[in-house]
Amino acid sequence: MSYGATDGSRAKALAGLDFSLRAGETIGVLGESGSGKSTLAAALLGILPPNGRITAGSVCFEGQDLLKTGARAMEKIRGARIALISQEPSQALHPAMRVNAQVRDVIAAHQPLRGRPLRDRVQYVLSTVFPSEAERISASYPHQLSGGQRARVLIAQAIACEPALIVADEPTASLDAETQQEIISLFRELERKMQLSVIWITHNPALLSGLVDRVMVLYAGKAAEIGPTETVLCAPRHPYTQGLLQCLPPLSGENQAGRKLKLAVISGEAPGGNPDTSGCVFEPRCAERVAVCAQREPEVVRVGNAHEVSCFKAGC
Amino acid sequence: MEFAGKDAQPILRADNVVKRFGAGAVARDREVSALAGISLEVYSGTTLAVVGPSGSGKSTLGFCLACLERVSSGKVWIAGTEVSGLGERELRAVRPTVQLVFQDPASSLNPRMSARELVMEPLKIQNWRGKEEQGARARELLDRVGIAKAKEGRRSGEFSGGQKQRIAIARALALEPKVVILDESLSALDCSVQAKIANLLMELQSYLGLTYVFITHDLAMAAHLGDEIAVMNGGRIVERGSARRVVDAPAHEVTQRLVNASRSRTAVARSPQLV
Repeated sequence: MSYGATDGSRAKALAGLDFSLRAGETIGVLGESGSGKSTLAAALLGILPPNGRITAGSVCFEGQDLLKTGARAMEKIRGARIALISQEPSQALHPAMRVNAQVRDVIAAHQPLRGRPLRDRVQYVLSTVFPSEAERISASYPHQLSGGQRARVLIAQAIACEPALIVADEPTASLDAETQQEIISLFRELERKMQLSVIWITHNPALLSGLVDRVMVLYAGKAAEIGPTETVLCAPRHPYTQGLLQCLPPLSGENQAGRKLKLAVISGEAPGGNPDTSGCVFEPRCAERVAVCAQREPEVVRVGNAHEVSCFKAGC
Repeated sequence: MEFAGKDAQPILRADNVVKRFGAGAVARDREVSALAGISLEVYSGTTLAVVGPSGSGKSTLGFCLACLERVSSGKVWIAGTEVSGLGERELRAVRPTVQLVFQDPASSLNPRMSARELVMEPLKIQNWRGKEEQGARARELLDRVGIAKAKEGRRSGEFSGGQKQRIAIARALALEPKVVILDESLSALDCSVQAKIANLLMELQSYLGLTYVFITHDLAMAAHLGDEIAVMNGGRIVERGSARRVVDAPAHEVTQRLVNASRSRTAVARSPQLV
């Protein structure tokens, strides 16, 4: 998958990503700016910007290759079978429409409901995300709601047509820790109730524990590591994942003298997109690189139960 | 107490600060209290981290301390000068003492200005020496925050998020402030970049003797950078103490909820195998 630039050149954003998701399974896509995580979401939903082009590959969903599906057919799938929860709740909602109308439009676009049954369905969907105050919120405008409530409205829109898959692109990034926790609990509950598959995109590793079944770590458009959440977060095998997790400050536990210690960092800066290199994309920043890393791409190595790493070191 | 200079005058002091905002044209008579009586003091060379849920008044407090918002009542002292009663003209002389670094460097830096111009701007505004010296000072500051000399002429839009925040920090330091208010200055950055900027802030603090007010919703980072933590809720400080005490033995209900929410998030990511 690549983006065209104004000078005619093309920048690669994703380079050969392979993963699968079972029904009811949730996966976290962990990556920093420019790693390709939002491009992945856009590619799955067929909403890449006009300069974005998928050069190779396939996206198989419910037995259908989405990359070969026409625009009209994609419109039917998007919102109904695959739903997107986008990053900024305040921007994703129409500022001058009441909440119920915004949820109604999603349902009306995909289901033949009209009139009373449609209104009932809207109320039902809103009551699943707002157990106590659905009535009041349904008649509100987005500006009258808090960030957490707006995030819930986006979730309501996403689940309105009972999709099989939800792609959540950092829906909690702008919320405070406590509201984040509330939204995540709501999500977990809905997943169980509705048998949802979820692709949860985030730049925050701390968010993923207890939220998703598996984690895929993206770096420069490639999967560095993929495996069960607890394994990837507790015993990462790729030097990038290890470095990333060590960047996080601990919540206390350390003594007063230790507090002013410096945080571990990964040297250098992440390339924006997938760099043109014959070796490993992380090699220039890797503290554990060896000669072979610059020469050819590492193959995917299976290091444990469903745990795969793209690193020469992991093979030994 | 364990903080240096605790007996000395605080560099920053607020006494019963109240800030009310009008509710807009629709309800002129209704007012919202963003700050409902805040008192605090911060000592030179230390960091006060301010945490709290969204809408608790953290940013308003930052703006009031930075003299960017007028307080409705109460008093603010910066380096011994009472600033809450000063007029615009007198404030101008105080403004260099306290500077603010915002959350999103992409929107706080003019994308069409070069890194050097951005850092020179406050020097120009305050008529600090001649143009040559301003340029030299900008170069020195950019060097200190880790922007290579060859990149100084580039427009800020060409830099990455972390580098932009470095430029914003250099600009905030241009007039040799004593106090820097960091309003969610790390929140928009990637984890690996946050760690680098946090290290830079600590380095600058020990080198220049800076005092920080670090406003954040990230309790772990607050505990890492802060000497003290103040927890805000509903426009008040509900708990305040050494960073370690607040995190290890939170007393107020709001703090306990914050600690629990943060703990469940960081538990797995900080496993013994890594530390």
